[in-house]
Amino acid sequence: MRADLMEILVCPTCKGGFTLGIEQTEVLDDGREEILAGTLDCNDCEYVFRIDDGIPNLLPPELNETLTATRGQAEELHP
Amino acid sequence: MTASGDTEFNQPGAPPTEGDEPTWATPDYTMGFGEEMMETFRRNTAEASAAYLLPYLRPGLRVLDFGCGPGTISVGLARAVAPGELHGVDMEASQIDLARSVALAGGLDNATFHVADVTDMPFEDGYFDVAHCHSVLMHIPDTAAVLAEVNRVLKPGGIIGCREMICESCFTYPDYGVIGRAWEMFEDLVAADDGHPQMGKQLKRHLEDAGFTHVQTSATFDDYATPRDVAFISEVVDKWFLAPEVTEAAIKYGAATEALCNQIRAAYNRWRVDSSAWCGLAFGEAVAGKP
Repeated sequence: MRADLMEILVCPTCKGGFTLGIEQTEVLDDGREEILAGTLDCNDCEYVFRIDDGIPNLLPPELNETLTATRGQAEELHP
Repeated sequence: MTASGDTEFNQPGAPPTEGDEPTWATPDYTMGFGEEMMETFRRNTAEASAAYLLPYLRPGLRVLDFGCGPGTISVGLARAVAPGELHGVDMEASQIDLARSVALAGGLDNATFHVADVTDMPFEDGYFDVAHCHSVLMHIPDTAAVLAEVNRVLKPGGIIGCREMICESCFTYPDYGVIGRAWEMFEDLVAADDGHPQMGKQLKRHLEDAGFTHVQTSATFDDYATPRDVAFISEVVDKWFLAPEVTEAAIKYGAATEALCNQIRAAYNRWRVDSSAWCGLAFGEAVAGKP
């Protein structure tokens, strides 16, 4: 995820702004910095969203938990 | 804006004039993401699946592709608006991984993909000129919630373009008195997940209900008649539609019996070697403006 995306991203739940927490970055061929791992901390509600492998997971936390559980059940039924 | 205050946008087939300011421009998904479904997605390019929308795009616009899947349509939209931005959103992380790979392979640096929910998107109000989706609204229970969220992230004067299936108008020939039942089974499965199998013909109503105006509609078929196409459809049916995950769900929901699934399998085995085999997938398309 590029740092300049911070200008347009908002919390999916409360639409508040984020504070970016950077854990790992790399410089791309075009000189821009890519955030590989980190967090997006909502300034207005308690939610924290992960950035892993350069992709922010901005699913509302409850939906994220439901999806994770659904995937787990599907893998058990059809490994 | 016109003198009357109505949103103005070009008719399909008449690309916007250069130099204009850019003013417009699942837990419920039984179908899964097997290899055959992925081949279906790969066949979905912007030129093939968003032709009705391409005349509205021009360089510099910001486009949202909501429910972008593996990004095969997204990358074509990104090319059409470069150096403008394309943002793709899907709740499936595996699809977003694929979409990033597709964009990288295409050398596109103006396409960005996010894992997010289309009913709660992580974008500020009024950011996008154009919003697009393909075969997305048919799978989401609350159509009004999605369209309200798209409305929120579109600029005033922005446009939305949707292409959705009309399952009852799809055909497979010859039918052998059985294959029509497969289409009914598909409709029942979509409906059992609280989806909308006829969404393509309901687009005008939903868009108007959501406050969009100047709805321009069209209807087209995706056509599968060559030997390669017929082999592809047969594989989709065999490996995906009649896969255990789907047939078990269909039987559980009362949409099929094991005997019917066996009849459908036998009918498609005939169909795949029938020289007259032909399949058409029906879609409704609509473009509308945000006042």
